[in-house]
Amino acid sequence: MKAENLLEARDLTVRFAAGSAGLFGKATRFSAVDNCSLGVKEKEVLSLVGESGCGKTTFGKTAIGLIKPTSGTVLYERKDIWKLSRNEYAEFRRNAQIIHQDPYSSLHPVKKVYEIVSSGVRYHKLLPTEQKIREKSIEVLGMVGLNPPDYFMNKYPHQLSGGQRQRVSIARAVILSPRFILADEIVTMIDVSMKIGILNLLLELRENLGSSFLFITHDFGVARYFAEGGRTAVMYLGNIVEVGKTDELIMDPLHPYTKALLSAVPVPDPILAKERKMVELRKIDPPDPVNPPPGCKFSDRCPFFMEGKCDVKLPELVEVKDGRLVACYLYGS
Amino acid sequence: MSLQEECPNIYDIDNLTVEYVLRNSSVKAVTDVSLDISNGGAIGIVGESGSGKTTLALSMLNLVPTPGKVMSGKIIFNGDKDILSLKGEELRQFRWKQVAMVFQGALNSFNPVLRIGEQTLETITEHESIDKQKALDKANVLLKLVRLDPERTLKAFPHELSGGMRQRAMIAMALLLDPRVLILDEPTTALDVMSQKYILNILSELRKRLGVTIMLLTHDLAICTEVVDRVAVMYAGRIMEVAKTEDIFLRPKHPYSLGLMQATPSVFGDVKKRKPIPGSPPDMFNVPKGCPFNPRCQYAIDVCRETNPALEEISKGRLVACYRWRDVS
Repeated sequence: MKAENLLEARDLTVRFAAGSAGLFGKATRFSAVDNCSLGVKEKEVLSLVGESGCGKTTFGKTAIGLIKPTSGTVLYERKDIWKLSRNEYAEFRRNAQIIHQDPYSSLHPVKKVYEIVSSGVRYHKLLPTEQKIREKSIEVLGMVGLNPPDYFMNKYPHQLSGGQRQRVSIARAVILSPRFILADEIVTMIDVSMKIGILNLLLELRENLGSSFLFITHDFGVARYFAEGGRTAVMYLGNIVEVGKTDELIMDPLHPYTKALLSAVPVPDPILAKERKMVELRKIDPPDPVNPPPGCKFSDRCPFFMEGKCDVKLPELVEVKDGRLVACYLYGS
Repeated sequence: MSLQEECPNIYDIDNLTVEYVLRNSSVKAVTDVSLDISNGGAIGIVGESGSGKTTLALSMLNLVPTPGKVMSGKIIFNGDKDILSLKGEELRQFRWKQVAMVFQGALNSFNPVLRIGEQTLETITEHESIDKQKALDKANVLLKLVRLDPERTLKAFPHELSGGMRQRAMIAMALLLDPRVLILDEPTTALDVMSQKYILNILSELRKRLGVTIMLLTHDLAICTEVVDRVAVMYAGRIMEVAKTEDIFLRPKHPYSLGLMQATPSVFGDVKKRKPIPGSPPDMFNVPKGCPFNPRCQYAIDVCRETNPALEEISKGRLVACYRWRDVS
């Protein structure tokens, strides 16, 4: 019935120290990711939406093994990625690639585009000769729309625009034909007129490569554009509060936080904008993530707050209808 | 509405050109910009990075940093005050008291070692002879308006407030001296969707309650639907189109405005209709001849590549700089 997960996070918790309390004091620790479970199937697109500081990047990085979780496991083809053999791990590394948010700091400033794009192929020794590596690099640069490739190969990152740099970053990831790509806020820093171009490119590559995506963004509009037909998970202060099919979740959000978030998204349509009402919260500013309220972390702001319930125990993420998971007592968690 | 139209313009900008002169080259950040802003109105200046919107705002305060220089043009405030000729004490009194600006990244521009209250009082006492209690009362009122708890906020250090709270405190601070105009440069760019929405709501309310004129600089067309009633679209230092917010969104007349609209992904509405504007924003050291948008424009014809179209009034209050605006839809 259900396809296997290619990559799966089970009960993932990542704690960080939040400054120390003096020389001998014990550092306060907080959970950037708190007991989160999510799986991505072969060729599936899963968007992870949340505001800054909610832990979505930490979750993503932990899912591809760049951060070691405090507890919980990450499974790649049902195997714990922290218990893989050396060869298995190299294989996983090649298959789980990342495209970073900031194309200005994620490319080596004194290396030429050719070196940057081909570095993964060299590291994993995928191609036997320099000639083959060159051919492959040219092919991939063409694929990401950097034409003519010969011209771009000898450029340094500073000679390129933001959009072009992000294309280099995409080429560096797709040259390895990974089965899984973590795309972390990849259009946030791109000029408005070119955002859609980058997203279209990625959609095209998704079609051609058949990779799975974990697509992290704070922008529901972008999530909807990229993950139409896919699923979306919403995160708040380290917890996943709702998961569902992207279109359904946007049209009919269930969790109060998802509702509030969607009601606050600006829409580029003056008529629609006038009709929409924002969900009024009890408190407009989020709590300090180091000291979240007890129980549900949204309880201090939630308009549907139920005393003695929401402030006591964190609600569990449960399936409330086909394919929709919600962590809220309103839906019988 | 009719009342507003009878009032004079708070700003009349006429053929403004600002250039940054470097050793071997120069960049025209603002070219031939003419714009009027009505008293009590709210206008959005929309443009991508490098389009000149910040430089335009800075010149409205006579605050263009070196090596920037106003090469030509006039900026008249409230019908009679020539901003570009203000000097010394007169200029100091004009800034903040008449026009206040919340700079981009302002949420990081508080002094980190002073409490918000101390910084707030300093702003007032620097400009006005007012006793401390009166100043405090005023701060209290304004902080409440921006939906902050005055007592807590005044005692707090900047790092104790979240980004959204700091930005709102900054807006309150900008309003301390009852300016007639409030300029905000990308006030919500670094903020979350919800903090953004609250700030936009607060701006609408400030406009209603205090009658302050608002100028909002942004790269995000979508947020203009929330606050402003007029939009000016800038590209490569020039104004491409000025129109009522509704017209810009529903009936854009400049190919660039239309392109921006189609390039903005939206949560609602038709997802399929989105498409990018081909090419990249111009290199400002080497702006294309003719209309600066012509290499990216699907409507471009020979004349567009030769001469730059002037900003033409096509109906009342509606201006477009395009030879082919009649064909754009």
